[in-house]
Amino acid sequence: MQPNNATLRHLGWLLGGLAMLFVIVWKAPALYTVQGLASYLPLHMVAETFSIVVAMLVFGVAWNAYSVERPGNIMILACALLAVGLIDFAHMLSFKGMPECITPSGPEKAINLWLSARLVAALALFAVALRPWLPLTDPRFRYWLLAASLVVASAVIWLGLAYPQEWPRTFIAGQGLTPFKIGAEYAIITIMLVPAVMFYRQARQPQTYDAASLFAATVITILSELSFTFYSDVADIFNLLGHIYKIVAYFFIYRAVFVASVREPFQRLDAEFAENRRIAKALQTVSLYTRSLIEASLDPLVTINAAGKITDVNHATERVTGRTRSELIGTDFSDYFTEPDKARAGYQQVFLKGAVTDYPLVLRHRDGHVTDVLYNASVYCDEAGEVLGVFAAARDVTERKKAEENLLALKNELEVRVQERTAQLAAANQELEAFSYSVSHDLRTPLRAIDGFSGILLEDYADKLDDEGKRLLNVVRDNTVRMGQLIDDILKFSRAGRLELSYSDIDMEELARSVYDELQPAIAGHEVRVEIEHLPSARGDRAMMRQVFVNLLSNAIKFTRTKDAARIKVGCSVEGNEAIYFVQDNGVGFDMQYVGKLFGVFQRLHGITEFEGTGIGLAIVKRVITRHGGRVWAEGKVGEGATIYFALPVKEKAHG
Amino acid sequence: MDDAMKEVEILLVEDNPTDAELAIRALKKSNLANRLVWVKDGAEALDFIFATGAYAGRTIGNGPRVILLDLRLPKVDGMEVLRRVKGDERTRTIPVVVLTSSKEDRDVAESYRLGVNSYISKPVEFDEFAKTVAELGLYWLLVNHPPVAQR
Repeated sequence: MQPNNATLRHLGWLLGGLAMLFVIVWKAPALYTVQGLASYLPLHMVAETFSIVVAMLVFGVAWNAYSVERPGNIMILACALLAVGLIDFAHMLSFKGMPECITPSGPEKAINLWLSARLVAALALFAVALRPWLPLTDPRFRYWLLAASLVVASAVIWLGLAYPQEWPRTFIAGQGLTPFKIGAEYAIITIMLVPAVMFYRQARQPQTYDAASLFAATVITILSELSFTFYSDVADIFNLLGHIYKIVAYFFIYRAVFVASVREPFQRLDAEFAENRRIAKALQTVSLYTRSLIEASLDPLVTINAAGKITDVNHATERVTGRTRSELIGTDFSDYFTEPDKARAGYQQVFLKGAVTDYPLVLRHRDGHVTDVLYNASVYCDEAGEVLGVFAAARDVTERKKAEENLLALKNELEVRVQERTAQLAAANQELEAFSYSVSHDLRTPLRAIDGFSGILLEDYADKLDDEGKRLLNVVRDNTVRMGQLIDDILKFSRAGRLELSYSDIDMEELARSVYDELQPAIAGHEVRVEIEHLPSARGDRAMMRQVFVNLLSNAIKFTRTKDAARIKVGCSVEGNEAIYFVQDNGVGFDMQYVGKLFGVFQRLHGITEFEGTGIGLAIVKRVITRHGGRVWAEGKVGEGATIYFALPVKEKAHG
Repeated sequence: MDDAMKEVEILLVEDNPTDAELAIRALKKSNLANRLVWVKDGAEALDFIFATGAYAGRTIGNGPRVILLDLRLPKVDGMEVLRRVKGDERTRTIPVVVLTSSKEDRDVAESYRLGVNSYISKPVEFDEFAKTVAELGLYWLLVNHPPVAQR
């Protein structure tokens, strides 16, 4: 309990008042001389009965409210008061004017029992004050206390009632109290000073028991004892005062015991209840908060026990399954999926590994519609780390899946389209091939006939033809040959675009040199200075690349034929990720305004009589280079020469 | 020698009469056309070579000493004729020269795969054509020595 200085102050006033009363009675002669109160016996009986009742109440309350954790002090006090009450009862029976009880009643008989009771009470207070306010070391000890109390009370009562003459003299009629009696009272007072001081000191500090009441009880008992040292007649005012004090003192003991045994535990219980209520409320708040978080989740959340039964769900789960919380709890988790076995395998995996992520499942709604979900789940444990169950969160991936499916459908569609287009292209290619095959074979046959029979005419009828006739036949033959060449060239060009590239590493410098050597007959007497610089190797189709050099170099040789100091240069520069090769000549060149026509099929910038050729060479070069992922361009000036460039992508060494 | 004289030396398989005429003329000039048989399609060629049909009276071993074969032929094409000739024990040693307008790589490759002895692309120019035909006639009939068993 709290240090109640206010209570102590009130007690101070009360004790002061009682002391003052004592002083007034002592100093007022009129009262002092009051003796032989005629109606004192009933008064005494009322007073004693009251005090006995209080003593019994103290015992009854303390004994019945006892529990092991209560301080043993209360039990000591209670048992002592039981004895005191019993002895007081014998004292009441022995009071002067009462009927004979074993022996005739008389002042001394009552005093003997009185003193005994007071001594027991004083010793009890002494013991209670000195003993640490702690529970009994052994709860059974209270039975010993009760037994001791009853034995003492019985002994005293028996001795007091049966052998009054054996007790020391305490009162002599006409003389008053003997020194023994007064000495005994003082001795009791002395004993009680110790608990008075101790209770007082304890009352000033926070105590779990009502030390203030015990302090008051002790002080009032002392006042009571003092009263009994003064009286000259057992029925005088001091005797009455003593009894009144005693009742008040008992009342305080009762209060102390009641507080300690009943009120304090109840208050503590109340406090505990309040605390529990507070904790429960706090817990509820926390729980509600947690719950609100779980419910706020748009993802279906569920907890599953080791048996695979649902133990909790949130609203999202109710929505996605179309079932209420109470319907779901206690049922099999796996029942709500299109593939229950897979769902079961999923949570078993969680129990085994502790967690799974992005586990794909399909939830089935009560109405049959399904939701594609990805489950993320892990086990949750109690304080001891024991696995309680699985906490699983599903993520609705229907939209994502739909998007993926759309993407897949688009991809498939695209693939189909690509396949169709590829097939069309292949068909077209095949047609083209058939066409060129046909061209190659069929177109040349009639040409050969024209040329052949013109030749036969010239041979067999030479004598019948004049010179003009022969010339005309030769024009026919020249044009057939030219037509044959055109057919050959267009087939070459078509082949350059059609044939599959077979990639290999090409030593471009070596290739250019070998082509040049091969073309030596074409130079035939004309002096040409050819310079082939170092050329980086390239990756491509060797045969086609060879055709490129053949076309470019033969062009260069052809167009420098009219120059006296013909020069041809083959070189390369690497820029970025391109190797730019070039073939340069100082031949007739071309007008840059026609540069766009240069690489066209059968485009010629010179008259047929100036330079032979069908105009397919550069077209083939362009086609081959383009197919290699490169590009071609040209620079030139009329009369000064031309440079044909072709750039090829540089391949990383690692690929080579 | 009498037997040898009766032997057909050149089998010309050519559907185009002008090409055939030009070829025969060129061979004649080199005196190689005396023992020449000209058939106009693949089926007739096979009949001749394997002595069936109209040529049932022939003996398989009795020539020709060389076959000049065009590829584009009615009924049975040249490639099939080549396959049959080179696929038969009795005829596989007969030299076959493909003489065609086609310069297509695949025809060349397929012909060699089937065991052709020579592949000649017919030039447009008559002079060159005549020269080529005369040269290969000379080569296969006079320069080349076929295995003894064939004779």
